[in-house]
Amino acid sequence: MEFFNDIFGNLIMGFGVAVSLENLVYCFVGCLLGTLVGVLPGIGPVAAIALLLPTTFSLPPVGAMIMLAGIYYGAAYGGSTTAVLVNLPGESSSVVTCLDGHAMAKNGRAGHALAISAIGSFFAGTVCTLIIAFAAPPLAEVALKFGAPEYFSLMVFGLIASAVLARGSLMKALGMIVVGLLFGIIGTDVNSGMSRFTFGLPGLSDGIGFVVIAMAFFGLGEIIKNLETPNDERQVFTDKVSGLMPRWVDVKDSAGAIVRGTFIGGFFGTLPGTGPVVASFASYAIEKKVAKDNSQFGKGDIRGVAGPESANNAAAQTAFIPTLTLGIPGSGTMALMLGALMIQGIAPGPQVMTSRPDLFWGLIASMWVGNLMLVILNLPLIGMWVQLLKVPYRMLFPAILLFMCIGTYSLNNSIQDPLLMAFFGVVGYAFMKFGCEPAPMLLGFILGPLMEENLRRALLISRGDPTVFVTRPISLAFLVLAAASLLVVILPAVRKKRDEAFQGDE
Amino acid sequence: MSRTPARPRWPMRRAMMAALYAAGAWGATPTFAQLALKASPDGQAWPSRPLRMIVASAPGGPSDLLARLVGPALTDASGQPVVIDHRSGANGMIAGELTAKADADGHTFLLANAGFVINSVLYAKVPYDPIRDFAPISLAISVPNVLVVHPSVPAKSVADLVALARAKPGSIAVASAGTGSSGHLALALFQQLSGTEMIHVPFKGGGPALADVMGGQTQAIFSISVTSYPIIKSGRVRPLAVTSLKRLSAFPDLPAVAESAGFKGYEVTGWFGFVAPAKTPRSVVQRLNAAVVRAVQMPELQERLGNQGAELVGSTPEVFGTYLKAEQAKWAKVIRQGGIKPE
Amino acid sequence: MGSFKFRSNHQDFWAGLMFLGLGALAVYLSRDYPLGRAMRMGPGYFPTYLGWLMITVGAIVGGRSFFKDPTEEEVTTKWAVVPLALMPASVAIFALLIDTVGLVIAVAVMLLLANASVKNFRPVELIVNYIVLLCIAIFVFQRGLGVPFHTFWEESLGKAITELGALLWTPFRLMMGS
Repeated sequence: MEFFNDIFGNLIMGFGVAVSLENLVYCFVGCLLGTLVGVLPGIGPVAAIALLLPTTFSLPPVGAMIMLAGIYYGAAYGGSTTAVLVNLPGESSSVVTCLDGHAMAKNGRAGHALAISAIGSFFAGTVCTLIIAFAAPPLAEVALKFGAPEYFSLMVFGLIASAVLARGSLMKALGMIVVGLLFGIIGTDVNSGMSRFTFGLPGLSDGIGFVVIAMAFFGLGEIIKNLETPNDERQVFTDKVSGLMPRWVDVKDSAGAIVRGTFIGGFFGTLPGTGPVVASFASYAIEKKVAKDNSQFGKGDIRGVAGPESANNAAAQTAFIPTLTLGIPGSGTMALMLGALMIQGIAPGPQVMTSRPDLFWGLIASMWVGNLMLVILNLPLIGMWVQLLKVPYRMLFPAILLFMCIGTYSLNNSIQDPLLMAFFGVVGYAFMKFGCEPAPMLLGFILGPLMEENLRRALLISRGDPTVFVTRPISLAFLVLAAASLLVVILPAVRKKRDEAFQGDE
Repeated sequence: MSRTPARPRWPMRRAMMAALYAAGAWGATPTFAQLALKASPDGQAWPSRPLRMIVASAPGGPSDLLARLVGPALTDASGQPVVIDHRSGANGMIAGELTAKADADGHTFLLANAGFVINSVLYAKVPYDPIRDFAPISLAISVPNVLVVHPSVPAKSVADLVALARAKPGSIAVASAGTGSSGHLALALFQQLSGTEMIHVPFKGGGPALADVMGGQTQAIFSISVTSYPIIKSGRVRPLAVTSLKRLSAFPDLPAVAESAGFKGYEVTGWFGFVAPAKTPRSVVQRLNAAVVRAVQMPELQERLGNQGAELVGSTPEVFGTYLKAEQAKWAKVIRQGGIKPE
Repeated sequence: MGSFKFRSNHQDFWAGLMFLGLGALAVYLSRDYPLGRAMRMGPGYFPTYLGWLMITVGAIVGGRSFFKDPTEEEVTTKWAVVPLALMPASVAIFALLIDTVGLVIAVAVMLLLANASVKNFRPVELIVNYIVLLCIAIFVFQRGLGVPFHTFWEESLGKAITELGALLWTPFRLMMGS
C-alpha cells in the first residue's frame, strides 16, 4: 500500500513540475508541430523529430522536455495519419496501419479510422504511462534478459506472425518475407565490415533506408495502380464520407482490440530495436485470429486499425523504459530523445530517478500530458485531413509524388535515395501484379539484418552450439509461439483442402 | 545557448517563437543589422556566409552534444550562424569525403572522431586521406574507454582478467560498438600485449553492446567513458581500468590499464576534433582554432562531458596534426598484427 | 482442378519466376563472400542460404501454377504501362535535376511528366498545383525544415529572394522581441 502511495505521491509531484500554463503551451506547440511535420508524406517520425529538436534547445529543461514529449507523440500520430490517408507508412510500425486504415479511407471512413487511432493511442498512452510509473525497473530487468538467442527467436515469431496477416497464399507471403530479408542484407556486414550486394555503389554501403523501400512499395506502387484506369474522373476515394466523429459502435467494436493492443505493445516496446514493429504486426495477427468474422480484414476492418495503432503507441511509450532506467536508447528515435535530454543537462540513466526525481517524474507526467494534448488537438483536425481527400486525384497524386521525392532526398540530402525509390517502385508494382503483398516483405526487410546479426552473435557466444535457441526458456517460448501461429494458419487450410478433395471424390 | 535561459517573461511569446523557428527558417537567417553589415558578399572575407559543420555521426550522443555547444561559440566568434549537418553514413566516410571535397574557404569543416583515422587503415577503399586531404584545427575532447565486466565475472583487476582468459582461452566474450570501433581496437591491443584469446562480439553501436554486458550475455566491454559513467555508478557493471595513459578525474580510484604488468604504454582513447579541407587558409584555421579552444573551456562542457570521464583538450593545429599521424601509425600496426582487415 | 499445363495467365507462375530469379541472383552474388562455419559465420553464410531458400519457395510457388487453374483473384491483369513508366521517370527526373537547376525547374518538369498520365490537359489546374506545391517545397521544406535545395540554378538569384524574404520578415522579428 505504501508503495502505491509513494508512486502516486511522486506522480502528483511530477504533475506539479510539468503542468503550468506555460508548459501546456509548449506541449501544445510541440504536439501541433509534430503532427504537422509528421503528416507530411515522406517525412517519417524520426525525420520529423530530428528536424524539430532544435526548436526545444532554447527552452528551460522542463519546458523542453514537455515540448519534446509533444513532438514525439505528435510526429508518431502524424505518421499514422499519412498511412491512413495516402497509404504511406512513415515508419515501420505504421505499415500495418496502412492495410486497413487506407482501405477504410477508400470506403469513406478515414474519419473513423483516424478517430479510433487517436482514442486507442490515448488509452494505450495512459495505461503505459502508469506501467512506466509502477513497473519501469522490473520491466527493464526483463529486457536485459534478452540476449542474442532471444532476439533471434522473437524475430522468427514476428516474421511468422506477418505471414499470418497476408490475405492470399501463405507460400507467397513467406516468399515475400525472404525477399525482404535479402533486400535487408544490402549494405555493410556488421561482423566483418564487408560490403554485400552493393554493386560497388558507395551510397549503398549503409543499406537502403526503410523509408525508401516503404515509399516505393506502398506509395509509388499504389499511385501506379490507381492510375491504371485511364480516366480523369476515377474515384479513388468514395464521395460518401460517413461522418467524422467516432461512432459509439466503432468504439464498442474496437474496445477489445485496443486493450489487447495496449498490452502487446506495452510488453514488446521495452525490447530495444524490434519492439514497436513486432508489436503492431503481432497485434494485427491476433485481432484477425480472435475476430468471429474476419472477412473484412484488409478491406477496412476498424479492429485492424485500433489494435495495431494502440500497440504501436503503447510501444512508443514503453520504449522509454530502457532509455530512462538504463540510459540506453532502444531505437533511432529514442537516441534522438536521449540526445535532446542530454543537451538540456538531463542525463537519463539509473540515477536520474533518485538524484533528480523532479525531472524523472516530471517527464512521466509530460508523457501523459502529451498524449492528452494529442487527442484534444487531433480530434478537431480530423475534419481537415478528410477534406484533403476531396482534392481530385489527378491533382493529389503529383503532390504525393513530390513529397515522396523531397522526403527521400532529405534522408541523406542525396539524390540516390529518390532514384532508388523509382527503381524499387517498378519492382514493387511487379510484385503487386503477381499477387504478392508488400507488408510481409517490409517486416522481413526491417528484421533481416537484425536477425542475421543476432543469429551470428548467438552462435558466436555459444561457441557454435545451436541448442541455445531451445535451452533458453524465453527463446524457446517464442519459437513455440511461432510454430503455434504457423499451425493456426496451416491447419484450417489443410482441413479445407481435404474437405474439397473428399467432395471431389464424391 | 551558452547562457542558461532565464525564466521567460512571456511564455506564449517564447513558445510562438519556437514555433516560428520551425515553421520558417527565419530563425536561421541573419538579423537585419547583420544583413546590412554583410550586404556586399564578395566571397573574399571570412566568413561571408553561414558556416557548415559536418558531423560524422547521427544526432544524439557525445559528438552531437559537442557540436551543439561549439556551434554557438563559433557563431559568437564569426557572427555567422553555424549549420550542423549530420552525415553518419559508412562509418563516417561519407562525412570525410564530403569535407575533403568541399571548398577550402573555411566555411565547411568536419567534427571528426577516432573512426576518421581508423577507417583509413581498416578499409581497402577510403575516399579520403586523413592526413593529406585535411588541415587539422583542434583536438577538442578525448574520450577514453573503461574496461568493465559483468559482476558475475570473478575478475577484480586487469591481472585477474588476464589470468582468467589464459586459463580458458576463448571463454570470455567481449562486446564492442562495432568492427573498427575504439573499443574493438582496445580489445585487440589488449589481447596482443597479454597474449590472451577472447571472443570479439561486435554490435551496432555502443549502447546495445553495453546493455548486453549489463544483462550478462557477454562478459566484458571496453566502453566509452561518457556512456558507461552512469552505469558504472549504478553498480550494474564492475569497472576494472581506464584505457587512458593516466587515471581519470571522473574515476580517481580506477587504475589505468597501463599500470598493470605487461601493459606499459597501453593507451586507446576515442576522440572528437575539428578538421577543415586541406587548402583552408592558415589565418582562417587559426580563427576556427581559437573559437574551438574557447568553446572547449566552457563550464557546460566540463559539466556534461568532463565530469563523466571525457578529457577536454583544445589543442593547437600543429599538436593535433602530429596526433593524427601518430594515431594512424599506431592503428595500422594493431590492425595488421590482429588480422582485423575486413575480408 | 486442372492438369499439368503451362498457364501464362497465372500470377503464381510469374511470382515464382521472380522469386527464382532473385534467389539465383543472391546465390550468385554471395559466391565471393566467405561462408565461414556455424560458430563463426562468414558474411556469405546468411545470404547464400537465404538465396537457396528463395529458390525453393520460388520453385514451389511457380510449380503450383502448372497444376491448378488460377482463381479469379490469381489471374494476371494488364499492366498499366504508361503510369508505370511515367511515375518512376518523374521521380528520377526530379532527382537528376534538383542539385543542378534547383526547385523551380525540377518541380515544373516533374509535374509536367507526371501529368502526362492524365487524359485531359488542364493548364489552369496544373499551374495552380505547381504554384501551391512550389510554395510548400520552398517555404516548408527548404526554408522551414532546412532541406538544402537550391531555389534556382544560380544560387545568387535564390539568395536574393531569400534575403528579400528575410527583410520583409524583420519587422515581425523585432516585434516578437527576438
